[in-house]
Order: sequence, then C-alpha cells, then structure tokens
Amino acid sequence: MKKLIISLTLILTSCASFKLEKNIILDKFNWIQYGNSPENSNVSYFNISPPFQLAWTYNAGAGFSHGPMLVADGILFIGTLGEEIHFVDIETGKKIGIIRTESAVSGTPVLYKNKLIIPNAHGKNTLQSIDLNLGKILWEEKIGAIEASLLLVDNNLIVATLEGSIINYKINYDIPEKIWEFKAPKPVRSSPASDGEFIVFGCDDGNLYCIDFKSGALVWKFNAGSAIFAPISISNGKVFFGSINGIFYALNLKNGKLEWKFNSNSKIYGGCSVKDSLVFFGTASGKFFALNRETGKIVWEFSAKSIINSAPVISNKTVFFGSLDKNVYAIDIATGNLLWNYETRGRIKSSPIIWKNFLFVASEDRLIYAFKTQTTKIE
Amino acid sequence: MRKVTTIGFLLLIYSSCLAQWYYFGRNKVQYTEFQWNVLKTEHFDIYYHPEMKDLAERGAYFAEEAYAELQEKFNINIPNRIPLVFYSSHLYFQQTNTTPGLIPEGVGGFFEFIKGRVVIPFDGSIYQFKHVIKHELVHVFTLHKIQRVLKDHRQPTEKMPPLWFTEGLAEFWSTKWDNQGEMLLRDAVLNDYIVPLSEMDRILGTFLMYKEGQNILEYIAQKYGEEKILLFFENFWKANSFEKVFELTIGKNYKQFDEEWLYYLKKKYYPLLKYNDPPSAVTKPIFTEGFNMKPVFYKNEGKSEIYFVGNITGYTNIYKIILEASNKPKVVIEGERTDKLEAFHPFKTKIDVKNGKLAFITKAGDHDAIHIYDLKSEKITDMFQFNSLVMITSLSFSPNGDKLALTAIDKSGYSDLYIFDLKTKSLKKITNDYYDDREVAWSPKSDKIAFVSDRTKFGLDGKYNIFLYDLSEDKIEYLIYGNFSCTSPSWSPDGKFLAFVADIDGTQNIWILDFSQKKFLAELGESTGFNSSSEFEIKQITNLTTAAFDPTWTDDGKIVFVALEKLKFQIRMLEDVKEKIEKPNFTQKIKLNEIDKIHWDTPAIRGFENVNTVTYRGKYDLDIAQSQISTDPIFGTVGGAAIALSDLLGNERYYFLIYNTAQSKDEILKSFNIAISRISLSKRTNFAYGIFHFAGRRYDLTDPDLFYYEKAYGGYLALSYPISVFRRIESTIMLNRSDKEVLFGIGERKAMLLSNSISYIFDNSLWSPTGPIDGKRFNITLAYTTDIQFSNVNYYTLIFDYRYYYRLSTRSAYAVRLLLFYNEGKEARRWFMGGSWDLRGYERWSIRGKKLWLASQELRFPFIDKFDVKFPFGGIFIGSIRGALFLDLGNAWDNKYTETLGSFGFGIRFNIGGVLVLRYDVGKRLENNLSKIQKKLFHQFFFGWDF
Repeated sequence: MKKLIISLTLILTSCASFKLEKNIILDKFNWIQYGNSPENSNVSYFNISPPFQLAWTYNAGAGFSHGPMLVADGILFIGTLGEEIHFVDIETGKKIGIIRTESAVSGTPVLYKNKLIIPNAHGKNTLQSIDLNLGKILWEEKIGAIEASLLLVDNNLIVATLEGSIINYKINYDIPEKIWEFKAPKPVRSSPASDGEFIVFGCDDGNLYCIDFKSGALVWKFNAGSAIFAPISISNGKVFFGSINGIFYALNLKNGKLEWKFNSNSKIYGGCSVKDSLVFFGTASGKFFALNRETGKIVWEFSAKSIINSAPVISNKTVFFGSLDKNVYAIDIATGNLLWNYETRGRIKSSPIIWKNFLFVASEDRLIYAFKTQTTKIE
Repeated sequence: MRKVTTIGFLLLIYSSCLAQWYYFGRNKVQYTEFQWNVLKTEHFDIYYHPEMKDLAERGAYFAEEAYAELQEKFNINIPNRIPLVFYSSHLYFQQTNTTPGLIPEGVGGFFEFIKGRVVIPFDGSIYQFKHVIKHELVHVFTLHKIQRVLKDHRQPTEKMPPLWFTEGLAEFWSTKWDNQGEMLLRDAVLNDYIVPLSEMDRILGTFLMYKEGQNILEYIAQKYGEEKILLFFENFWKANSFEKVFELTIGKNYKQFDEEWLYYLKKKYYPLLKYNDPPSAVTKPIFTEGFNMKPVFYKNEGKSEIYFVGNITGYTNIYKIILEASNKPKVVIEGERTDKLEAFHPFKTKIDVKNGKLAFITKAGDHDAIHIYDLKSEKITDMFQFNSLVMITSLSFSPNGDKLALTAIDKSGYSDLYIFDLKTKSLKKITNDYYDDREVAWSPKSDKIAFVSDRTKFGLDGKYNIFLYDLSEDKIEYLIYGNFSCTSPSWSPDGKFLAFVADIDGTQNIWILDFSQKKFLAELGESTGFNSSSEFEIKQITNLTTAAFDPTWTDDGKIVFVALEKLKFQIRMLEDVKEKIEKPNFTQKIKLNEIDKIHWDTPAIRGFENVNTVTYRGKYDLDIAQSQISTDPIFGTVGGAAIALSDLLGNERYYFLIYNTAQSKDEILKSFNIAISRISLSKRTNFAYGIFHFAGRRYDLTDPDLFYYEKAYGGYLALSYPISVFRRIESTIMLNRSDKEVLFGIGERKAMLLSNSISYIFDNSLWSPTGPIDGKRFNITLAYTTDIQFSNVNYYTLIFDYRYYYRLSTRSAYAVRLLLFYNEGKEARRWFMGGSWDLRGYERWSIRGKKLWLASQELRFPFIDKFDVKFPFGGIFIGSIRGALFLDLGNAWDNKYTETLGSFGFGIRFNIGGVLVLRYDVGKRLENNLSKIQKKLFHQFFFGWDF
C-alpha cells in the first residue's frame, strides 16, 4: 500500500511539475483555439495540398474529442479523453511531456500567451489555467462540466458549460476576472463563436443564442427545432450551424433572421468551415456538402463511407475532413473531387488541423497521424 | 489447490464437451440438418438456409436500412461485419447452437455478445421480422457505443447499462408504441402494479420491464429531448452507477424522475375510468387465474363447456370448464410433458371443437402437429403432421367437421391458408404469398372462411385486417378494412354475426359485424354477391380499460373471451351481447369503395455488385482463451491455458487444455497435462471425442487416505442421441492408460482401462426459483470398466436416480428422490455422500462406499414471499424465500451393509440473481439404525439447487 502511494505520488508530482523548457512564441499562424479563429472559420493560414507522406504517429493513449489539438511554435498540444494533455515535438513526433487534467478534455483548450487553459468534462475544477513554463496550475474555476470548446477573443475567454452558463472572463491578469455570466435554460455543448461584437452559441433547448459581447445581454435567439450540438461558425455577418434535426442554417448575425436553411436529411453533429462563397459541413449519413454561402444551394456533395462528425478544415483549394469510416479525405474545393485519402486504423471523429506543411489527424486508435507535404506557403 | 485447479479444468472441458451430457436436463434436438448460405451485404454476413432465400434478401434490406438509421442515432458505426443468422420459423430457431441453452417460446431473437451474432427467427410477419432485426441491432450498437465511450476514456469495458434501459431502448428505437404496450401500461397503472424506475430490478427481464423501459425512454425523449438518449451513452464514463449517469443526463435521480413519470401515467390513464370499464366491472368471470387463451364453446350433452389453453401451474394444458358448474377447470390435455405434446404456442395457436372432437396444435418433434381428441373417449384419436408445414398457427373445423381450415408456416417461412381434408388426408394450399395469414374461422354456412391477414396496404405497418375466402369461387374478398389491427374472427352459430377484436381506439376491444346490414342482405338470402351497397358498419361492444382477446360465441348468443386484468389473462363472459349490438359503444363505417387494393411489397437486397451469396464453410473464432497460474503450498506452482474455438453457427467446437504440474526441472516433460476435444452438435446425434494426457499428484476424494501420483493418457468417444426434448440416450467409451504410484502407502498399479457406459435419461421437470416443482426426471446408467492389459481393474457400475415432483398447489410440491449407485468388482471406485445436497445432517461427503442408496422426501412450499429490510445506508431485498420439510434415509457400504442413516428437519432456500441458491437446513439425525434421534439440532448452510 505504501509503495502504491509513493508510486502514485511520484506519478502525480511528475505530471504536475512538467515544465516547458522554452517560451512559446505565439504568432498569428499558430492554431491556438478551436476553429483557428474566434469565428470558428476552420481555415488554415497555410496552403497545403496532396500528396502527403505519413511523417510519424504518436500514441496519446486514449480517445479524442471533436477538437483535441492545438499547435504553436513547433509543439502539438493534444487533449485526450484520458484526462491528459500531451505535448509533442512536431518535427520528430516525440513526446515532450504530459500533464494530467481534472477530467476528460472534451472541448478544445485555448493557448493564451504561455498558458494553456483547459476545459474539463467532469469533476470539480472544470476550468484550469496552467502556466506551461512554471508547470503549475495558475488558477482553477468550479463552474460545472464543460464540453464545448473555449473561445478566446483578445484577452477575453468565453466558456460555455453543461449547466447552461456562458461566462466571459478577462484573463490578462494572473487571476481571471469574471465580466458577466449569461444563463441558458439547458446545457450548452455547442462551441460558441464570436466576431468581437456578438457571441453566438447553440443550446440543448434547440435555440441558438446571440449575446452581446460587452454586456452579456441577450440580443436575439433563434429556434432551430432540435438540440444544437455542433459548433457555430461566423463569417461576414452570417451565422452558420447544423442541428440534430438535420437542418443546416444560415442566419443574419445582427438580427437572427433566417437567411436560408438546407435540409441534409441526416443528423448534424459536427461543425462547419467557411471560405469565400462556400460553406462546408458533413453529416451523420456520411454526406459532405459544399453549399453556396449566400443561397444555401448545393454546389457539390461527396459521400464518405460513414458518419462525418468533425468540422472540415480548409487550406487554400483543399478541404480536409475525417470520417468514422477511418479515412481522412482531401477534397478539391472547386470540383468536389477526391484528391487524397488515407485510412487510419481507427474511426476519425476529430477535426484535423494544419500547421506549416503538416496535417494532423487524431484517430480512434489513439494515434495522432502527422502527414507531411513537400511544399507549403502562407496564405 | 492443484486438485481444485485440475478438477476445474476438467469440469470446464467435460461440461463444455458434453453440452447436453448433463446428468439431467432437457435436450436441444437438432431435428433438421440445415444447409447454410451466406448473403454478404455492405455491413452484414447473413446466414440463412436456402428455403428462405426470399426472406433472407428482404431481411438483408431491413438490416441495412436499420443500420443506416441507427448509426446516425448512436453517432457511431460498426467497423466489423455483423453476423446475422436467420431461421424461417421459431421451431428451427429453437435448434440453433449459437446459444447453449434451450430457447423458450417467447424469445423473438437474441444478440450474443461473444461472437457478436444476431440470431432471429421469422414468425410469419414481415413487419415483426423487420422490428426484431432492428431491435437486435439496437443491442449491437448499444454494446459498441458503450465500449467505445469507455475505451476512449480509458475505462474498463465490462460495465453495461441496466436491462430496463437496453431492452427499453431496443424497443423504443425499433418499433412504435403499440396496443400491447398500451394495454399493459393501462392495466399496471389502473391496478397499481406499475413498478417505479427506482425498483425496476423487481421485474427484471419481464415483458412489463421491456414496456416500462420503452415508455420511460419515450417519455424522456418527448419531455427532455431525444438527444438525451444519445447523451446517456456519451455520459456513460462519468459515473460507475447508471443512476448517476441518468442524473447527470436529465438532471434528476430515479426517485425524482419516478415522481413525475408516475404522475404523468396516472394523469394519462386515470381518466380512462370515466368512459372505459375494467373487465371485472362489466363481464362475468369464468376463470381468472393464470394465463389463459383461445377459448372455444361446445354444447356437450346439454352441458355448456368451454375449452381453453391455459398456463396455471407452469405447464401449458388444455382445460375444460363447465359453465353451469362452479368448479375449477379440469385438465383435458396435459401439455409439455410428453414427446407428442412437447409444447403449445401460447397466445398464438387456436383450438376448435366440433362434433365431439377437439382439434389442437402442439409442437411434436421438428414440426407442429394437429391432434384430434375425442371428447367422449377422452383419447387422442389422430395426429397429423405435414412435411411441408413447419408451424401450424390456427385451425377451424368446417361445419360438418370433415375438414380443417389451417394457417401454417412452410419451410420458406411464409404463412398461408390451407384446407386439410380429414377423410382423404389431403392438404390444399389456398394462398401462396409473403403476406401473413392467420386465425381462420370457417363460417357456419360452410361457404366462406374468415381469416386475418396483413395483405392490405396497412400491413406494411403491421396492421391486420379481416378477409373472407370464398370456397365456391376460390377467391379472397376484403371484409374489415382500415388502418387498425384485427384479430380472432369468430362467427356466431347462426352465421349472422362476426365477432372480432380490433384496436381502432388504440387498444383491443370486441367488435361485431352484423350481416343483416343492407350490404350483406343479398348474400344472406341467396348468393347474389356483395355489391348491393358500398358501405357497412361495425360496432364496438366492449370499451375496456385494458384489452380483449379471442372472442367466441356460446349457443345462446353470449361471448366468451379473454381479458387482461391484474396481469392475468382471464376467461370472461359478455352476457348482454344483443343489447350491446343495439347500443354499441362506438360504430365505424367500412367504405368498400375506398379500399386500396394495391398490395404492398418490401425491397430486398439481391443483385447489387457488393452483395454475393456463398455457401457456408465453418468459420472458427475464439470463444475463450484463458491462461492461469496458481500456487499451492503442497502441490507447488501450476500454470496452464485453456482455449475454446467454435464455428459461427456453434455447431462444431474444439477445446484445448494445456498445463504443467512439474515441481522440478526434470519433471517438466512428463508433467504436461494436455486435453484436446472436438464436439459436433450439427446433427441429431451429437458426439464428442478427444485425447488427453494427465500426470500429477492426486488426492482421491472418494478415499481420503489415498495420496498418489498418477499418469493417465488415452482417448474417449461420447455420443448423445436425443429421442425428444425430454429423453435421450448417452453412451461413452474411453480408453485410459493409468499408472498409479501410491505415495504414502505401498506399491503401484498399472492399468489399461477400457470404460463403456450407456445411459437413458428423462427430464420433463418444471422449476421454481430454487429447484424442480413438477414433473419427473430419471437417469439409468450401466457401465463397465476393465483393465484390458494387466487385469488390475475390473468392475461394473449401475446408477439408478429417479426423482418425482408431485404438484400440491401452484407453488408447493412433494418431491421424492430414490438413488442407487452401485459399483462391484476389482478396484471399484467409491461413491460418497453427506451434506446439504443429499443426506443432510452428516458431514459433507463423509459417507463413502462402493455401494450407496438414498431416499429423500421433501415438502416444498413458499415460506416468505418478499423480504425487504431498509437501513439508512441501503437495504436488503430477497424476492422469495422457499421452505422445505425433509426426511432423508440412506447409507454407503463396501462389502457389508452396516446400518441405515437418516435425518429430518426444516430448511429455507433462496435464489440470488437466478444463478445461485443458498440453502440452510436445521434438523436432527436419525442415528443407530434409525432407532435414536440426535439430541442437539444440526445446522447446515451451503449452496445448491433442490434435488
């Protein structure tokens, strides 16, 4: 028993005391929050395209949520459902370190300066801020389980909880300052998005809520007819999201009026990505749609062999997404033609992310697959 | 420890090898030698026998359709191919080896976890087939989803949600809320036996649990949102107890949820009492105990007799009750005890009586049989079976009794209408399609046969309407048509009315079609057809809170029927039928010109490129792979592994056992213990054979002073031929080279043992929670063991074990066991007894001898029905404690019989979880050749079923 306690203490101590040797240099090309922007546009700064070579795989030892990865300054941050954050060197695929979290990491964490802010899906201290250089927890908040991704807008952190709270924290000091809290009637699992003026999120009660960024006051709400699990995206004054009832909506950000809707005839669990005139999303039937962002008309569609749960990611003229059929797909944005696919050993329910000439894919086989292309350029 | 381990391994092999070679037990008989094809679709490997090809292709479509829907609902796919095994009838399904146990009548399919197999019979209804396929696939997805969520969170994958949730969900996501669920919930709420969610364990595995589970999940989906169902799975990792997961998902614990759910049910069903009537309030009871169905009326020498199929004691029988007398029903046909009357199909198969003959259907071997019972001589005079008909689902005599109208399921699985001529013994097929034809009723005028069928466009949703088969014109006419289900048509004796059950208002009530309406007048006069009017009326004459079944007319215009009340299917009589027809509860118009005669069809998966059919070749997978190391202070360290393989259909099985008992390096080679067995269950004669090599130190349980080293190797062959579900003959032959070296005694013994045995085994016993309560079972075995090389061993064995259970009441019985074990000859082995299982009051296994006899008598009765103690920190609940008064006599001896031992006393037993019975006995020994009673009381606490 004594040995067990000592071993456990050593393990816990070593996890808690992991320190990142270097200061992370955060530039605008880093992927530091879900969707790669507060608008959740899911567009990469880097232009990559097939062919890809598998550079390395990394075993994270547990499953992943819909958006488990961040990347900054050559380090890949991986949140797992096994209550850990893994730090991996991008060039080598080797582990730099691991920290234990309060619980499973379902929502995507946020990188803020040299701090990693982690949402926990269960437990007491469900919001944790960890100083990566000091290797210690700076602050923790008991605000209820969090399954939505955190939203970072400048120095503000927006957190949506399963208790229905939307909380705006100012985080540019050592202790977070709660600016306001909005209370939704049901749990919020849908990751919020913001254009800096409004915050939009979906709720289990079937409504999409838009609240004022500064005051937290309700601006409008829109009834989607069924629960909204999918993350929300904002682009050029429009809000895009899919609902469990299979309808994909485009709303006016300012007044919440319906611009158009598209019935996919299937459940929509995953987020979307928006670029130029197109909006992309996948459904539980395995269909992947490219719609005209102004009209909602189908531009093209592509069929995967199984459910598409994750948001697609766009890089220049290619859109990437994973499917529960174990494949990661690269599709030509203009034509909808398949450019490349790779079958991993597990289902893919997480969104890929891109950094420089790497495409990172988290698979259910607990591996992170790093694909490398020869050429890349910044868009 | 090694002995225990060795015995454990041997038991594993032996019991598995001889799946049906248990000491007693009923048999799963492989009457039919199936050929198997495999239909490969995108997600499924569908195993089917060629006669049901059409059905298998439809099933393939249903499976793929259900897969597409369920993968969205569960938000997960199944990466491996799912094996689906189809049988074209329940009788074939009962022969499956995919599960070792006997399959009861009510099982509509199952999902087996080890190989992930889904096994489903067809019962004549395509709608039900589709429902069951989807139901079982919900289980497949449930298992995969739960395991995925737990694996993702790095948690052990052993835990599962409770049965009310898994079965309730399988129903909720595979079918609509139907009249069966509605009647049960109504009855449960109005009669106050609805079980709260917090106490659901009380009805574990019952139909009520299925329907309550379905209702709870429907309620949650409606009130809290359907996404909550998915969230039960997604949150499954968050807590160890499902109640906590439930609370995390909907924000209420079981008790809090019960408050609102029960309130919702009461609010929904209590107002029914304003307009609807409980059966007991408006009808006369005929017989109200147990589960009764299919009554028929017969006027027998002035007496009004009702014959019905009933299950009151556990066995299903045909009973007779005389309306003029107020006596208990008399058993006319004892069912489920003999080969020819192996099983009824309760709730399904009709009986009929005409001209002193009672016709009924039972399972008899691999097919159903029609039996004709002469009421006067009280004997079964005829039995008919048809090669082409697997199951017979209903029958009706022609008015003169020389023919029978039948509905039956053939080898293809489809249910059609037939006419059987009792004189010429000829069978004529009337319909020949995939629609489900059921419940025939021959009209008193002899010209028409009413039957129920799902051939209207509503059949696709599982609705059955009533049709007439016109015998003279050989054509089928629509009679009762609409988007509702009808069952049990019954002609009045004068042919002027047709009574039937319909669920037009959502639950089953009795309706009447009066043929004196304009539409039918021409028909009643002379046969000018049905064209004088385009509409007619049907009248609802009951408005029950629960449900009515199986109406049948008496000679004086009353209706006897079955009603559900207080979870009993009661035989009741509706006396004021004429008044009710004049003043019905409701009427419904049937408009003939609105009948849409386009019949439905279902898609099938046939010629897709990615679909292909292949002949089944045994595909073997691992069932068990287990390694074990154990250490014992005396026997040292023992390490080994056991592996079991079987094919997908479970017909062929291989068992491998290897372990080593060496205590030093030089013993390693000679201390390997290896056994390899093959068992074949695909044919009626099951066989097993194998080879073995065992070596090690032994302690002979039958002779405690003998501690020896034995090396034994050889082979065996075992055969088992089931004559029927109740009887079998078993035979074994074993050649065993046995070299014994006595460690703490003198000398050694070498032998080449050849053992032969033959047994005749019978078992039709019926079980209560702690042991048999009715029927009998016996085992007679003769065996001979001889040393063919050294002549060191030579003895014969006789085993006579007879047990009889005489039912005293529904839950009490008098049980007798007579046992004689007899070994005689050179080095004959000893038997042993003593303890809670046989001669009570004596130390366990303390009585030893080459000969042994035992006579036990027991009075078994219910002692405490419910034992529930609540503490602030939890509680203890035991459903049923049974009591027994016993008297045991017997002894064992080698050469000279010394004295008779005995004991008497009282015991209690209770069942824990359906798998373990704990037993406590207190009593006194009869000592000194029964002349003296023990002064003090003995107490014995052990486990085990009643004998």
